[in-house]
Amino acid sequence: MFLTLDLESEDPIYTQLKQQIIAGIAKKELTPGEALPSVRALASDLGINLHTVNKAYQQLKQEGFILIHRQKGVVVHPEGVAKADEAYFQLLEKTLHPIIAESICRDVSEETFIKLCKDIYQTYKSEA
Amino acid sequence: MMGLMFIFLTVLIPVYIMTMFIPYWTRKTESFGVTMPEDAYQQENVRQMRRRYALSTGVLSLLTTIGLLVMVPNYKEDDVVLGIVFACLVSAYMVVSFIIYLYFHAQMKKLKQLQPGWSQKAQLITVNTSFRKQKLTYSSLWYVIGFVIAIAMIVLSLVKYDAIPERFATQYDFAGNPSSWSDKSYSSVLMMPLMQVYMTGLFVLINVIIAKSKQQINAADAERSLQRNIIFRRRWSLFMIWMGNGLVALLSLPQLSLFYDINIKWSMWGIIGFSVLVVVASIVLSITTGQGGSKVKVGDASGGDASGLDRDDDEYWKLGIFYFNRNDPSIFIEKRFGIGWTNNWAHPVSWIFMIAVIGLAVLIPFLLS
Repeated sequence: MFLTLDLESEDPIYTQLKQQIIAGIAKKELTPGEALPSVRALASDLGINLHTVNKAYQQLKQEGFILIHRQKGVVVHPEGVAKADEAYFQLLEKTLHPIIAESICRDVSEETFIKLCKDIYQTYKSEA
Repeated sequence: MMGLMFIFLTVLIPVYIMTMFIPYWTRKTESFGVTMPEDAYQQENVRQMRRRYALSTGVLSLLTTIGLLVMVPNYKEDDVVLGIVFACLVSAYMVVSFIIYLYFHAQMKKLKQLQPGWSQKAQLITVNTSFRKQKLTYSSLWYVIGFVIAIAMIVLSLVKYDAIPERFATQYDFAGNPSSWSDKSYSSVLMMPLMQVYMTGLFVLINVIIAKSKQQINAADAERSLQRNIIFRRRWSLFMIWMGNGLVALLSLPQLSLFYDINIKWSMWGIIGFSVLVVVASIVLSITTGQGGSKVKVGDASGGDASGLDRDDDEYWKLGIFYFNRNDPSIFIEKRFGIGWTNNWAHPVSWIFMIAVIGLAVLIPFLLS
C-alpha cells in the first residue's frame, strides 16, 4: 500500500504513520502476515528520523496490529487484529464522548452524525 | 590525430551532450536544483531557461574544442604535456559549466520566489510499503563473471610467470607504441588482475546502491511514478552488469598479451570500440529513461495531479546539488540535477564510503609499485 505523510500537518508524523497502517489493514490493502519495511528502510524512504518510525511500530505492536520478529522483520499480525473486547469498547466510548459533545455544541443532529459514520464505514468496505 | 579523435569521441562528446541536456532529462518537478510543480515545467519562461542553458553550455563546448584543436598540435611530441594540457582544458570546462549552472540555479530560485503558488502546497511524502519486496535490480551474482575472469587472470599470470619478459610495456600511445615500462615482479604482473578485482567489487557496490537508494515517488501520481522508479533502477542495473563485466573481460587482453602473442592493436581497438558503445548506450538510456524513470511511459495519465508539489526539500539541497539532511537516515538518493544517484553528505557513512572507494583506487597501484 501507499503511505502518504504530510510534513506540514499538525498531527505528529508517528501518529500519521500509525493511523495509515491501521487504515491499510482495515481496507485489506495490508493482509495478515504481510511484511512491512524495516524501521531503517522505511525511515530512509520517508527521509525521517529512525525513532519516529520506531515509535509508530512499537505502538502498533503493543496494540496488536503488527509483530516485530527478530529474524522475519516486521509483519502485519498473521492471526488478524484481536476482536474488540470490553476494554476496547470502553476506550471507544471514551474517545467518542468529546467528539459527540463537540458535534452537539455545533448543532450536528444525531442522524447526520450516524450518517457520517455509515459513510466512513462504507469507504472502507468499497475499497476492500 | 587518432588519439585525439578517440578522446574526443569517448570523453568530450558525451560530456558535452550530458552537460547540455541534463535539464531535459531530470524530473519535471526539479529544475536547476529547485523544486516546483510539474506543470510549471512547460511554462514558457522555464522552457526558455533550459534553452538558454543548453545554448550557453553548447558555446562553452565549442570553445573548449577550439582550444583543444589549437593547443594539441603544439605538444604532439610529448604525451605527458599533452595529458596535462587536456586535463587543464577539461577542468576549465567543468568549472565554467558549474558556474553557468549556478547562474541558472540562482535565476530559478528568484523565479520561484515570484511564484507563491509554487511553495504553498502541502509537503507530502509517499512511499509504497512493498517497494523493497520488488525486484529492483538484477542479481549481483552476475558479477561472478567478472570475478572469475579476474581470478583466472591471477592464476594464469602466476602459471605463465616465466614466459613474461623481464621488462614489459604497461602503457601504449595511440599509435600502439609502448610509452611506459615496468620491471617484472609479482606485484607488477598482478597489478592489472587486482585492478580487475577492485573494479568488479566496485560494480557490485553500485548494484547494491541502485537497490538500496531512497524510494522517491511523486505523491501526486503515486502508482505510475512507482513503476517508473522500478524500471529506472532495473535498466541501469542491467546496463552496469553488461558494462562492468565487458570492461573487466576486455582488460584481460593487455594482460594476456604479456605471455600470449596478441597484437596490442586488437586490444586497443577492442577497448576503444567498447567505450564508444558504452557511451552511446548510456546516452540512449538517459534519453529514454530520464532521471528516476521520468521519461518512461507507463499507464495512462489519468489520476495524476500535475499541479501538486512533492515535498519541497530545497533547504537540504545546498547549491541545488549537494544533499545535506541530518534527519534523513538514507545514504544514497537520486541526483537532483543529472542522472543517477548521489550521497546524503550529512550521513557519516557517505564519507567513509567515498574515502574507501577513492583510497583503494589510489592504494592498490601505490602498494604494488
